[in-house]
Amino acid sequence: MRNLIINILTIIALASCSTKVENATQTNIELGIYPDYKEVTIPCNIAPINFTITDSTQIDAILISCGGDTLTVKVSNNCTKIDINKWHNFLADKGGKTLTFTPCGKTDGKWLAYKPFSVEVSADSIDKTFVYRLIPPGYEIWNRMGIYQRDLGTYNERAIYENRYGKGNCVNCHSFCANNSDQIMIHLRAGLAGTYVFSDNTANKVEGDFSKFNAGPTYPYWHPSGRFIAFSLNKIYQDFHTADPNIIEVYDDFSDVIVFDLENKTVISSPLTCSADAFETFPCFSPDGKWLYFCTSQAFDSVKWNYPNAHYSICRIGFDAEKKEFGTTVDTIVNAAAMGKSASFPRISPDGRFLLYTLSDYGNFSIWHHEADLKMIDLQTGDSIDTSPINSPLTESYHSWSSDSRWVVFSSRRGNGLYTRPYFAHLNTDGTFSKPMLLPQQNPQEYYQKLFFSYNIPELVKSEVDLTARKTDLLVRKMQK
Amino acid sequence: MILSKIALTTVLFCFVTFALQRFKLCTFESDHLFLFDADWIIGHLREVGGLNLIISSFLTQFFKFPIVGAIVATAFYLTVLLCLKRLIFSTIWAKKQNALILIPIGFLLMCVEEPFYSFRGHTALVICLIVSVLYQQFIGRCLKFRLAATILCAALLYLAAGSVAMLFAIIVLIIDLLHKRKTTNGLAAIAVVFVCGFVSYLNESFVSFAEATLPMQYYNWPTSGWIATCAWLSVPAVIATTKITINQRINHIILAATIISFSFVLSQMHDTKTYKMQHECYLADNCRWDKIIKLNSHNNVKTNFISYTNLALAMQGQLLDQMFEFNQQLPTQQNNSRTVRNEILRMESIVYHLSGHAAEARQAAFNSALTTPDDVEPHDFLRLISINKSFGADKVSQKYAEILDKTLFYKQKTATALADTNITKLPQNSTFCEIDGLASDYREIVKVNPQNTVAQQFYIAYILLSADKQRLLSYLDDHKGEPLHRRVQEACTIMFTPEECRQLGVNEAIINDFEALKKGREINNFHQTYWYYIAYLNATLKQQK
Repeated sequence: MRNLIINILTIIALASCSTKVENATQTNIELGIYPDYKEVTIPCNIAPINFTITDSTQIDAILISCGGDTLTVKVSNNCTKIDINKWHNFLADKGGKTLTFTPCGKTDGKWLAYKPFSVEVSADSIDKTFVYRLIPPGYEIWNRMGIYQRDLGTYNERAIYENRYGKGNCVNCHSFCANNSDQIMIHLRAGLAGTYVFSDNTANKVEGDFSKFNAGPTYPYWHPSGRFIAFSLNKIYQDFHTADPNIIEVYDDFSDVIVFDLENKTVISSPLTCSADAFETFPCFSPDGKWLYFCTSQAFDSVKWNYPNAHYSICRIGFDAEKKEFGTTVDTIVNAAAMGKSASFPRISPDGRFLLYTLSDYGNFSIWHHEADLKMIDLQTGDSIDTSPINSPLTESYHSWSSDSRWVVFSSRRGNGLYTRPYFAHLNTDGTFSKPMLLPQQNPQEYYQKLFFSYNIPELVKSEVDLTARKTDLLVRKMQK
Repeated sequence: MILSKIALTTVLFCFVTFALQRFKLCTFESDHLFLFDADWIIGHLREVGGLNLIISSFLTQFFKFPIVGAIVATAFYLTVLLCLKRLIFSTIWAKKQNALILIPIGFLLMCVEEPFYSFRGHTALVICLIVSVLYQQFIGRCLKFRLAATILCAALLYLAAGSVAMLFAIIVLIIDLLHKRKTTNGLAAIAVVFVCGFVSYLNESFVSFAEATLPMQYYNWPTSGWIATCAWLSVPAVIATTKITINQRINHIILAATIISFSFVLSQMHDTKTYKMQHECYLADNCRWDKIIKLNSHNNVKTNFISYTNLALAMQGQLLDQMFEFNQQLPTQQNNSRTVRNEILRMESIVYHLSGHAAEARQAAFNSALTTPDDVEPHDFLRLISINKSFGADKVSQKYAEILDKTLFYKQKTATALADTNITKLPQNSTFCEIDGLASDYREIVKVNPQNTVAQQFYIAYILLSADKQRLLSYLDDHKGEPLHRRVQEACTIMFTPEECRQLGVNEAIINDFEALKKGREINNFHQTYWYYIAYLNATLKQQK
């Protein structure tokens, strides 16, 4: 209670006086901050990157300077309160430049300036909208969950779907066609079950003949034409480790890859992607739509007992959208199995040059693997790209590209090992990644500390999604009728 | 006289609440978190119904102590009663007994039975009624003033207590206006109520009940949308029916009928099984193992393997000695109802945690927290602090600890959990939980920590209850040369020949007893032995066939 009163008084006190840093004495003391925005690269159109000084040192202001311009930011409870309009005005001409952040504190009437840190502002703007699912890092059951969109230039978050509107159902695997927000696919499980495609204010249910397969549509990926969706059809199981740091093991004992024609409602399949001798999963079209990438492992029995034997490699097969048929040969692009590793979530940059994927020790559901890291190859040269700047000792997993191929967003458990958070990294012109930044919030420490949800399936889209939770629910219910 | 009536009513309500609902109220407490944190409070104040949530969460935290829960709930019932008395008695049935005012009270009592009810409905109703009482002071003032007051109240109530509360304010005004027209007053008010109820119903089918009738969402007990909405909205309708006079005898009949019908509905809704689990949970949280055993020793209810009873016995080192005093079920037949999922998960998390099965405990605690209205459960978080520490996930523990650190009653426990160095030892080789049965999991737990006597008892109990010869052999192999518990020796006599038993170290007297049993000695002489369990089990299995 005392803290509450102190906090309220502090807010009132700060609101009633302006901060003007004058004649600050420079020190070489380095302060810790959360999130770690030191030396990161940010898009020129991102929301203010507020942060908290994690040291007990009293900080009253942050000076953000670049060239001759300086933005003075108030600090309340050691957390910055950057004015959103001033920030965007300040960043307007700072693309390609470096910002210097100098924390300042007033002691005995004198200002002290602590060791500054820098932040690169990329001239490459990021897609306007970030879409993700918020779920508890679920074990077997769920309560609340939803798919949300966030305007990356502000802190505005809006629900695209929330299961409290429906029947408490599980919602997953939202997928967009080529970073466009006007075509979205989502799965609903349990109540209102089905796979729905939303476009032009209508919902259509994906209903095809999947009876000859052992499972229904699971992991999706849109063909760039918007007419087809590639699905893996998986029989998924999950079990809990008794002593492993990785809590859960998710594995398939059956999986195939097919393409679904949304116009004719037909399934296009090939023995090469539906082999009884192999598990095929995580499909991904190349940006020109001529290739379908997927992960594949040799099939084996009793997966529950032998799950560490599952090693997936990334392959690709031709796809002819005109003839609606697959090619006749399968190429191995990343032979992870030969390395004794396993690859998942292949994603090609929209310019077709890079293949970003997740590499883990075994299995395909790298989301729960602490050792999982992001890896990338240059599809033009076949060379591996150094991705160490974006990896951590803990999980890096699901990822997606921005429409201009300059940014990637990925989920990582690097914060505490359990709750995934979205990180954004810039792909420099020399093909290297910059240090990633955590999704900005008004008070990130407070927000992420009290958030018991994980950010799941982070996707970047070019514009706002024209769906609200209520609208989506109404469209689904209409479809059900 | 009035004071004595109030005192009597208070004592009556307090008794009823304490007797019937104290552990239910304790469950409310464990389903919520109130944080003494400026950001948390300000954040909720910005939400629709935020003030309501803050007040109810603040009060709910004291339900940790059953008597406080009963007193707070009683205070709410009485406030509702007094407000209604003020609203109704002062205008219409002055000094006459009106049974209708008991409707909301019975309704509130029943709401507490809803698993997802969170006391916010009580708070919202009280806020609305207090506002109505205040509004009553304005009757007689000019229309503009009343209109302005209503608009202000409606806006404030919307923010403080939600959309239905706002509707409530508007209806009070409408009724006030209608009241001037003598011919239409009561009936028109009732019509308004039904229109509002119908609108809520329609809203519910299109959006969700929660969206349609916040804060009525806290009243979603069976078929509730309707009843709750109408009951809520009928209060101003009752106020409006001022011109109706009912004979006092009829009132008495209504009163009797109301009490009987509510008692019946309450008894139908009151799930004794759930309530017993809530009682056991309270006792387990307070380490009252003897009370749990006592609670279960008077009836012949089926005892699941993972149960508070077996945990209490194991915590007292008596599981093997006393387990057959209870109606033990096959461990593979965990007979759990999905309707009490939250209570089951909470129980599992406690049992697994205290018996050293960290992985199962983590899973159950996490799922248990997810089955609460706000996905938070302080007791589960406390367990998760300790469990995650044993998995080396210190930062996750820290995350839960930082939250609990802002509560009134969990600070100290959090500090203790964080500082606890005696964390659960994990099995050396990780497998999937229960991949080869729970006995195998406990075998690994016992292997790595032989001092874990609770796990040891659960391990042996599982083998005995499942009558698994192979697992018994594994156990005997692991513990060669060690003295065998009497129950294990009894199991040996069934599964091995007398000669093999002697080699295994089974006591001669036990072998002789079993031989006597085989020769026809009455099984009832061996009540509470493993033999009795097997005889019962075989009979049950035969019956099932």
